[in-house]
Amino acid sequence: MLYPMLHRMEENGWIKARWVEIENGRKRKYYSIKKDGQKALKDKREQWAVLNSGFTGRWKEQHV
Amino acid sequence: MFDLDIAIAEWRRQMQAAGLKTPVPLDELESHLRDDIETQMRSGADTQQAFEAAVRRIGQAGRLRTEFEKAGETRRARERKLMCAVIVGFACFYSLFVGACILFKLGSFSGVNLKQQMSAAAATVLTVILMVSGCFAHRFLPPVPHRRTRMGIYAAGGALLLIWLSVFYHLIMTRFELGLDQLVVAILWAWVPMGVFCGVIQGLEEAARRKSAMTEHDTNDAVPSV
Repeated sequence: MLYPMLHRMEENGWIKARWVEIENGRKRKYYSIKKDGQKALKDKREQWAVLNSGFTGRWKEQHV
Repeated sequence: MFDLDIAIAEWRRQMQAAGLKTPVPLDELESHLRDDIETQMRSGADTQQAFEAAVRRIGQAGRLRTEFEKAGETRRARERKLMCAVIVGFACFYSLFVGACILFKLGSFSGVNLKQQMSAAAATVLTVILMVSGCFAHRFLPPVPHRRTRMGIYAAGGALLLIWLSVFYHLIMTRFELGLDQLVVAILWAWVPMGVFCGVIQGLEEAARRKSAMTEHDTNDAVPSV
């Protein structure tokens, strides 16, 4: 679920949110990534890359 | 005739009835709902169809509530960690400071004899063990899932502790003629309930954390939605 996930990332200090008034008095919430979020994203990407290369290696071994 | 504002107000009422009470997620979800409806209407859908499809996509209220509660759990876990760190830090400071005073007969402990030293050390060790006992005592304590109830228990415990200390200082100590050496040892024993208080706080927080982690695990079969 997207919105609870966004709230969780906000609680973790990874992203920040602000309400912006758009046309006809309506408000929309915008999220932007923070420094800690960029660091967390980099860590997660690295973890994913390690996991992905491990699985790809296994896959190739079994299908060669 | 379908009225979008009435339909959205009814959807908000249903969400609130299902327990999604805090205004922030509900306002955010409504903003998303309106954006989704507008996008669909630009693609040619009529208002009612667009509304019904957007509501389906946003998900069921109960499921959303559970997921938002999980998001709040991250903050509560951080608060719990901080509280445990404060208790453990205080226990370390207390044991080192009082332990050094007893061992090297510093300050008010300068006149204590060996027997009083041992008694004071026993009181300090017992207080510190009780302070950090919550890490293990959670198994014997009932899980109290509601934070407000736990806060009520802590407030009542704190009040009892204050009553005990004032009874000790004003009623018990004034009735006995104690020398300074006896007095410091008696004060250390009087502080033992503080260890119980800290231990209960830690234990109840840990029991609640474990209970909520189990509940989260049970409800983890997610249905995809926004």
